[in-house]
Amino acid sequence: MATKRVSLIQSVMAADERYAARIRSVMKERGILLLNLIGSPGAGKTTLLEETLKRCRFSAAVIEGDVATARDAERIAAFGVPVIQINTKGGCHLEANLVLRAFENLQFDKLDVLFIENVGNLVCPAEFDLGEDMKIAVCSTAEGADKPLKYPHLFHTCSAVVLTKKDLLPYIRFDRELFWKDVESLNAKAAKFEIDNLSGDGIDAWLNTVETWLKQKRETQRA
Amino acid sequence: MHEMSLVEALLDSLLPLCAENKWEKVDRIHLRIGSLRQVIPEALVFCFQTASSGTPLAEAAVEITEIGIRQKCDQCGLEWGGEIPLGRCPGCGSIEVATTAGFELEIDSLEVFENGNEAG
Repeated sequence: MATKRVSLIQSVMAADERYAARIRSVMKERGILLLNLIGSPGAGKTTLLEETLKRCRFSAAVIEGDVATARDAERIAAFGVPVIQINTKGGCHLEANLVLRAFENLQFDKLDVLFIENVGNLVCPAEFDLGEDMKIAVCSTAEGADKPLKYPHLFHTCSAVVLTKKDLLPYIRFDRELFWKDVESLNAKAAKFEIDNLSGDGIDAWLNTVETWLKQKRETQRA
Repeated sequence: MHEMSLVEALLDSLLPLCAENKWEKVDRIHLRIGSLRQVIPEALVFCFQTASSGTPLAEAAVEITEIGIRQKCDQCGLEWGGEIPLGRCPGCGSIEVATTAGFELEIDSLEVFENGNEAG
């Protein structure tokens, strides 16, 4: 049987991109900054959120993505902020349609910053646009200094890199200079932070930057 | 391992198109995938074979063209390629660099069997 070739040239993710665009327009309309936190399991994403919520002057909400359990949502709820848990039941990343569905149960009134904590994984979450303003790569000293070059997609496309568990440095072998050199080579524009989980040192710089991003978003919204 | 999600998205795009155009059987699907996309071709093909069963796409061969990384400096205009994307222009050192290729995830074209008497 004869075949004919049909030219299409369209994105595989066309449907997903439409959901992400919808999220982006809801966030823009309401002037809410949307940050997508991506990192390995145990990188310290939830701890970073806890430390953020403890100190922040803006109003925040959190969407938690996990394969199973509501443990992260319970930790976040302790701070009295709105939180929605998405369980992917095996899925290694969040997708925009899941986030849109979570919006149905979220109170947007007077919200400044919405954090999405993605499923713990350095590969797949980087691939899926959730309509975020920025992807934030969260990496701990315990994971080793080689992660940026091993996972170039995330570290090349993120807007900030947060190195957590700085307090472990005296006890482990972590080439800090190499880590930041590799981040810089992949992404010279990314904002860079180091957080000491015990003393909370470094959190203020992170919070100030989030506030600046929020201000910039609202300014462009008004423009 | 997000290949199954990609395959689901691929089927969501192509199956309505098959129904609309009354294509009963697709012979070949040509995809263009950027090397920064972290897609394992064998895993994608395996997921595709599993998920497409019972559809007009069931026996289609999936051909993947890998697109290498290309970058361009917005300051000096230098263009380059490589294995790893750079955050700084190797020519002038500017951080205003754009990655112009390497993130593709596109359906380029299909080869479909023409329905019996319409052939030609």
